[in-house]
Amino acid sequence: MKRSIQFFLLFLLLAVSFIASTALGSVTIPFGDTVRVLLSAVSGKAVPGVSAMHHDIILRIRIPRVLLGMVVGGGLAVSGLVFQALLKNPLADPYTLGVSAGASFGAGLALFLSYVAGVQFKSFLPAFAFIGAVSTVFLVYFLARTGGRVQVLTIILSGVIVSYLFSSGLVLIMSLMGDKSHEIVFWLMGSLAGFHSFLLPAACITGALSLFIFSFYRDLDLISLGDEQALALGVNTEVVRIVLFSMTSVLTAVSVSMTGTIGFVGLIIPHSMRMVFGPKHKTLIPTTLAAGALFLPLSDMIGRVLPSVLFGSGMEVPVGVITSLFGSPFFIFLLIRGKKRLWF
Amino acid sequence: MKTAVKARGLTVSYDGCPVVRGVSLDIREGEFLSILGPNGAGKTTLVRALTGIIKDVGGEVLLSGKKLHEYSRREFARSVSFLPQMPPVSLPFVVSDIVMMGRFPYLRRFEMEKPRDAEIVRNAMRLMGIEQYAKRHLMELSGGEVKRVFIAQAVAQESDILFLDEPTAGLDIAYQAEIFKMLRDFNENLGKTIVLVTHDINHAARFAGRIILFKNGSIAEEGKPEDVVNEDTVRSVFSTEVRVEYDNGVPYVLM
Amino acid sequence: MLMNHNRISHKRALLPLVVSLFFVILLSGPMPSRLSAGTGIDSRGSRVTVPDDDVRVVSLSPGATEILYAMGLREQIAGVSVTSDYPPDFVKTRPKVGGFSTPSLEKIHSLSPDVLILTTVVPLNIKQQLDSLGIQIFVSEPNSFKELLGSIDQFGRLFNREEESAALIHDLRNTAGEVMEAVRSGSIAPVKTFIEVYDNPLYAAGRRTLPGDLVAMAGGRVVPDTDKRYPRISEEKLLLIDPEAVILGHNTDMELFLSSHRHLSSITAIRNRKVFVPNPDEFLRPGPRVVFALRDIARFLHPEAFE
Repeated sequence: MKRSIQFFLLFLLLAVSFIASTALGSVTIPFGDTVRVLLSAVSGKAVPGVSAMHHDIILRIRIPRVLLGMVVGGGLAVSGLVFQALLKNPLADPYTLGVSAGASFGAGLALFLSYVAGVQFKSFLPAFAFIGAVSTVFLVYFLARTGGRVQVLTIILSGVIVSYLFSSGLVLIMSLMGDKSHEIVFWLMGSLAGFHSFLLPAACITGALSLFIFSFYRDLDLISLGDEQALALGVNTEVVRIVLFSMTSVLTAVSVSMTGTIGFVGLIIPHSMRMVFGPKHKTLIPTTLAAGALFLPLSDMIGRVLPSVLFGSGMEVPVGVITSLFGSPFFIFLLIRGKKRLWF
Repeated sequence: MKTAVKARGLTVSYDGCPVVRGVSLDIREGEFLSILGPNGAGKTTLVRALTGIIKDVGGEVLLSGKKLHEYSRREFARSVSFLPQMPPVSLPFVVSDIVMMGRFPYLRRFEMEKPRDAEIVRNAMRLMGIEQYAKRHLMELSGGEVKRVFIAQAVAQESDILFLDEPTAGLDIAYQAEIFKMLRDFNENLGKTIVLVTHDINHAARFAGRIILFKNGSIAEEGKPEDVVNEDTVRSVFSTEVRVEYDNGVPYVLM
Repeated sequence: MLMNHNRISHKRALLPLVVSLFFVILLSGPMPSRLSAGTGIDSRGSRVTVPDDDVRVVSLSPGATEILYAMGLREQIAGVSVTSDYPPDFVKTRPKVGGFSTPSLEKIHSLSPDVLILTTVVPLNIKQQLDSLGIQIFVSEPNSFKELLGSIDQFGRLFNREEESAALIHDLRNTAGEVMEAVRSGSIAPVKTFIEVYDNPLYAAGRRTLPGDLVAMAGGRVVPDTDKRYPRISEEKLLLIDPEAVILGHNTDMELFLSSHRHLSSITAIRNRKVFVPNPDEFLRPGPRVVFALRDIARFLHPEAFE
């Protein structure tokens, strides 16, 4: 299939995902109404013939949710791609350096404090989660740094250890919270619901960081040759690693602090794109971003609509569950089919 | 472009154990130098230190009179290439992409590859006789062909100095001779400085203009092949008895 | 002659002796349960019996703790869960046995309770362990005000405090009645009320729960209209339902609620800021203080009835 056709299909899927996720939900809204509201979205005024409530549902509930999904999906996918390249490990994902454990711990701490010290801590939950996420990366890097250099294997090990550390901290908090620990469980499941005043800044940050990461596409290609050879060809591997790890960790932290830990996106999307578009990061970075941006809202939509249809209204399945449920068999399919074209 | 690499008192230690002990040497422009020595002598470490891949070193390395750490990696890569012993085989990239990677030192962040870059890559592949493999994956090629791909990459890098770490290790005889001939060609016709770490005494003696025998982190012998390679030196450096014969003045070692 | 007399007097003395013996045996034998033990029926329909004297009860339900206290039990309450915090001075003196989903079975066993009061049906492995330790379980899970009163009644029978339980029931009925009377007299239409028990994801309390019942009694019409106890609801559905009032039954406050529900600000209740956070210990706890929550909610929903 020609490359240009592939790009076109990707873009088409992105558009389909956007429209489908906006048109479908637990409340049935005629498709024509949805389209008209979307088209008039710029003016923000109510479209005659469409009830104000439908208007509200589309513009104030669904569209922000879809946008959040695009931002987070794209961010997690690109982060996963970069982690896989830097660690030369196909199993790496954005959470490999302990980011999810740190974020969960931060969120748990905020919830714990909201019971012990005052409800206002709940509104700081995203900030706590963000700080937790970013702290783990620094901790991991600090631990892995021996004699001025950082080995890839050491980083992965440090990531595992730091993950365990923060996870146990989280379990401790949960046992202290006892009956109220369901709040943390909900957060861990990951969700695109809720109001996020930070959505617009987050979108800008994601865009900016993705562009910044994109400028390193050659470095990422060369790093797959091995550190020695990359160095010999002029790549400053140490600096590139530090910069890209920091940027992707911030990218991941921004996403996780808003939605909780949504898994699998950062793992399957990069691999899928690699199988379709090849290994060059010049193509991979934008396509992974687009694929992540279309995958998450679509999964969320399935989680919102399908259980409602099957089990009765109001029932929604957390998006993280859908990504894993669909991700696992898809991944197996890719493995079986694409064995020789896959990495290792 | 006249460049030279100079090392003064170069020292490298791993965990407090010195692997390269205060080595000083001059690499002259346009020479074909071969570094020989037993396993564990520190040859590869020496080369890694000379090319700045290992940074934690004592002493200093100078390229064209300027200290190594004063160069940016990109700048340095325009003058010096390094081919490690084990190139990665399971790369998902095609041959032409890999050779194009040699242009990295010349391309800025958002700069696109220019027609000239593509031409350089084509020429390099033609030179190494791998043009027909341009769109193939590395995994499909034989060991010798893979080596040629990476040499083509170094050629595309347009560097004056090539460091190679055991380029013929694990290759069959046909390829071994071929690689050495190619390198001599680069040296005599393209004026490149070649520094070769190898176990292959005989090919080194035949093709190199100068040989360094390296033992225990220091230079044991150094000079023209016919001066350096003899039964005594081999015995003392490699701890083994051999017989040395001469073919048109070029020594060759019989085990 | 004297021997004869003695034999006859022995025979005469024997009868009263035998009769007294008979009564002694009668009175010391197993007694009908009404007199030395109490029996109550719990929410599962299970019959539980405990002795009257020196009865020892451990309560993992903060609501039950308050009920028992109100009925006059003191040292009979051998242990409570850490979540039992009322009345504070009394509860301080009681040994603690953990939370209601994380009780310490060891601690409970060491207190030798005759019965353990819980608010929810326990997982099987815990129940089996309790059975093997010989500890009876009394599950108290009222899902309406009426069931709460029924619960109090059963506690009265269980602990032989029927007078006290009757008095408590009477008081609560009166207070509730007053509130409902005030609401009714205002003859205002019931307010469409949404009870939020969690916000992310959104969970509601239906009318078949104690909180739902209280709101209905306070003059609210509980939405969503469902038989499910704690249904999950999507934000879209909530917009569709458009409640006139919102009552919060989780760890939050007005400001936090408004800022996290800004995208739902077109809902009537939010637009008019008709949002109320009752004291969760009164609203969500099946205990005597629910009537205070009832009163507060009624005042919130129908302020004009309480001028």
